[in-house]
Amino acid sequence: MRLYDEIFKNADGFSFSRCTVVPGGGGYFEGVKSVGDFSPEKVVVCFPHGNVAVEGKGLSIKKYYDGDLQLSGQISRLYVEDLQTGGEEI
Amino acid sequence: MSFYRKRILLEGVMPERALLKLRRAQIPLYRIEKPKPNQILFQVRKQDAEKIFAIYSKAGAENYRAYQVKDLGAIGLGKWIETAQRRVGLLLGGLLGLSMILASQPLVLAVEFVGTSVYARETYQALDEAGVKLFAPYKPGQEDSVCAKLLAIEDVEFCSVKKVGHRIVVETRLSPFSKKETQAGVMRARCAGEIVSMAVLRGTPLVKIGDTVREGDILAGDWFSTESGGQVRVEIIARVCIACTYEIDVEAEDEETAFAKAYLSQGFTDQDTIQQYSVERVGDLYRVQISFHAIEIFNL
Repeated sequence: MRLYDEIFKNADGFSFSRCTVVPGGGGYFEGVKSVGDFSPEKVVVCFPHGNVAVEGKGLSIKKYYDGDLQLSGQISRLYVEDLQTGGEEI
Repeated sequence: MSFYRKRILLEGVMPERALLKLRRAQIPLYRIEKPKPNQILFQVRKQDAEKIFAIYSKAGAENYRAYQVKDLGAIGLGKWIETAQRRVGLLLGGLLGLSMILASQPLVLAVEFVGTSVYARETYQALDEAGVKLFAPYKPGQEDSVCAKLLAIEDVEFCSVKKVGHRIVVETRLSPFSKKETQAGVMRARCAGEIVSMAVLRGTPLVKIGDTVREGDILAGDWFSTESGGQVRVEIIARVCIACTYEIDVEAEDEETAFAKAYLSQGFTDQDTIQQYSVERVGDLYRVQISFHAIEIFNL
């Protein structure tokens, strides 16, 4: 979408990876490389430039296709997980 | 078909890593769950299920693989489609049965009697004359003509005919004042002679064809014996034909008059049939000898 391209044009590569989260609801992730840790309480979404950990209740992947991942459940916490510098909570 | 999905169970160490390969194969995955640490449960479209089995071996395969997949079957409408495909014969049989039921709706398969079936034979005859036959399409509008024929019978005071499902229901009620009384007791010979024919529908025959009986002899008993050796009292229904000979000397002017007087004196019934007769002059009288078949009927 051109709007997103415009917003993220200076984001240094992150234009291809996006997270859209509804507080207390689910989330939509684009540019997903793979899925790391996966449980109803925590899902680790792996992007080319890092991982994003999502914590909550009743988490399940509703759809995962072609880099797009739709997460359902109650997301209560989301943070960037970087093994070298440590987690940075969003 | 987007509504036709299959459930796949993938087992292995860190099964979420297996999703990477499926992502590279561009297979859309739906409703991914992790029921156990070494299991991933997800749904795919039917056409993608074969691709998954090409990437990962099926559970129980001889060669060890890091991940194994199991097909848990279709879900939603796809489940019903698969069941129907496996049970084609049952489905066709059910459809065939249903179509036979629908096709046979206008047919008459049976006649049911309500009230009394005494005049069953007359009822079948009336139905046949009205064009209502068994195992044939029913022609509506004939009910009144059938009832009219049955009401013409002396005993019948009420009649109704209607089609219910595959049956013709005929309700007939008899007048309570004209019920025929049945004869009780044993059946006796009206005259002496030889038994020509015998039909005992109810009761116990005590003579057989060819036997010679005297007047008053018991032809049939009003009982029948049970297997346990007992006897059950019944009303006899029987027809016996006896070849009898009647001889009488009468006073008459001529042979014809003599025969007529002899005929009247014997008291023949409508069923009796005369086989031969002879009239000869004996003094002032005529000796008339009549050979006839006496028909004895009991409750017929």
